[in-house]
Amino acid sequence: MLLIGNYIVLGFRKLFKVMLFSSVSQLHHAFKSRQLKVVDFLKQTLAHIHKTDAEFNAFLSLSETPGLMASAETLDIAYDRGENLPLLAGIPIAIKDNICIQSQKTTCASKMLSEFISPYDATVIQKLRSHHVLMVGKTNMDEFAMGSSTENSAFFPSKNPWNRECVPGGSSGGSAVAVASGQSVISLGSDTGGSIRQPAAFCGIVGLKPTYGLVSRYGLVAFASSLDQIGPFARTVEDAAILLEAIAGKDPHDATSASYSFIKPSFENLSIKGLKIGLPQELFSDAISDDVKQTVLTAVEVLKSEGALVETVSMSSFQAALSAYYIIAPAEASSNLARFDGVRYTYRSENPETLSDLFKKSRGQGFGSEVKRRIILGTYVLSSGYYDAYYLKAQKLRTLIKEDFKRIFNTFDVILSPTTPSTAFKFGAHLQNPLAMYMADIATIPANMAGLPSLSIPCGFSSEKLPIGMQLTGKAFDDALLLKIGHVFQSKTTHHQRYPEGVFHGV
Amino acid sequence: MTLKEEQLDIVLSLAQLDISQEEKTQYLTQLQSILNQMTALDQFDLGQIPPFETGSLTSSELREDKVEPSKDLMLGVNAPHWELHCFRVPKII
Repeated sequence: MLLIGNYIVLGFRKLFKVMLFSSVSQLHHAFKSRQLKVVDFLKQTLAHIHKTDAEFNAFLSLSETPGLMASAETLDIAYDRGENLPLLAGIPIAIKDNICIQSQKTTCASKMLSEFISPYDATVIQKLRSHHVLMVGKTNMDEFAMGSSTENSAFFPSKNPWNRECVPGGSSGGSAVAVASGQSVISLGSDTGGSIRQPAAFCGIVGLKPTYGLVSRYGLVAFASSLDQIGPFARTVEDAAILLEAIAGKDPHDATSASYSFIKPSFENLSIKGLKIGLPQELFSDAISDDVKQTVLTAVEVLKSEGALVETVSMSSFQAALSAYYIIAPAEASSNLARFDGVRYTYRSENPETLSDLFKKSRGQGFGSEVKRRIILGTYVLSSGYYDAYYLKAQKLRTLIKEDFKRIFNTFDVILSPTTPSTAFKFGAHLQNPLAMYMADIATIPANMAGLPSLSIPCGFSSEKLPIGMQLTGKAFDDALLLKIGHVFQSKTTHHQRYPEGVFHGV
Repeated sequence: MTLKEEQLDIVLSLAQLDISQEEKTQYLTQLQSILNQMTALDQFDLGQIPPFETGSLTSSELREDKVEPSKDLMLGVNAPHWELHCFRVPKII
């Protein structure tokens, strides 16, 4: 416990750094023991956001300070009384801007929803309210979660705290930047084809896509409903587990939510001796950069030294998973986004001549380039004459992917691979070539296609000092096992304890 | 499969999208390269494979069907051109 005990030794400036990069458990202990007030921590967090966000662009909107301070003061009174509060009480959290918070803007980083105020809370938000978290703001993203860099945000791109010339990944880039830069302890994102894990890898933090159905999607603005899933970002695996426990569970408002709850596993005396790990050769191919491959293989040695058994496996369906995904996801998106018509949800074009003209102009002007590209693609693959050639084939391949995973999980406990084929790329690198951008999702898509849990954890750095992520994918509802393995890895390494240089510039 | 401008026009009509000629030209090239990538599916014998039906990994359970009070949809802030308890729709006929 570094907090107040080291106050005099470290001085205020260093203490401040330690505080912002503390874990949920450390902060909870400090709040409970009254070494730190919730109000003081919130003030420091908000000051840090105000000082740094002009540079990082993690947030699209911030919650009103008086309301947050009032909540923090109430929590301090409860802590003063010795009340037993949840672990997350008083912890600042950032929320991706496609998750609805009542009476706050939910823009999905789109002009189409730029003034939309949500009339209700998503189920995950209701659950977080019962844990007394402090929701500091809504984070930037690729428009309607379509993209891998936040460059598709209608407002501005977010910047990678490790190198501001590079993208933070996407689509949940703002949520990843907020945690990586110490602006929030934890955050929520959504993952349809890697939108939590890819930015987590690019920003050097932990990101979990839970099993499909473990977390309710009610109040998440739908992109591709059979693939979307809300999940946590954190700096440690334990914090991700704490946040997952708070948001998971059956929800009567989401018929696809499963009758499973998630209980955070004990991280005491963990052993992975005898654990069987498969390395899919397709995800260690030439499509993956040497830097990334070597760093992940070095990380594998850490797990081997802890007793894990590692073998190479083959999953032939992986080779076509990307193609199938870019048929299925746009097809679902073209249907889900049909509701944005210029009549509801705030954006409307000027001077339409007919009702059809109103729809077409509003949608043409309100949606950004990538969203329109995917709507067109989705409409095409679902249209008469092309359905069998594209959509039906893709759904059949999805069955094959599921079968491939099932076959491998008969022998192995988890599958391990790089999270991304490269480290964070420069702004503009793939903007003119959507296919190159889609390739960033090559390793993350298979888990979404099969609905499986998948965790990205920082496992090292490239020669250019950019973070690299390692991905663990498990059986359905085996989220706890992934987190246990991740915790063992973090207890033997220090990658997750590093934070980007210059985050405290000017502080 | 080659995507032609006439096909794109039909798709744009189905998708209720109005885009510029410049965007059309750009999308035609980009979509063609994306569709070419889809040929990766042809290397698999998918004839006897059933299509994936649902993302749900457990059986779906529907909630009890009971009437609840309507929620405040906050139309006052979300509908365009709101005035005097009504929101204005454009004159289109």
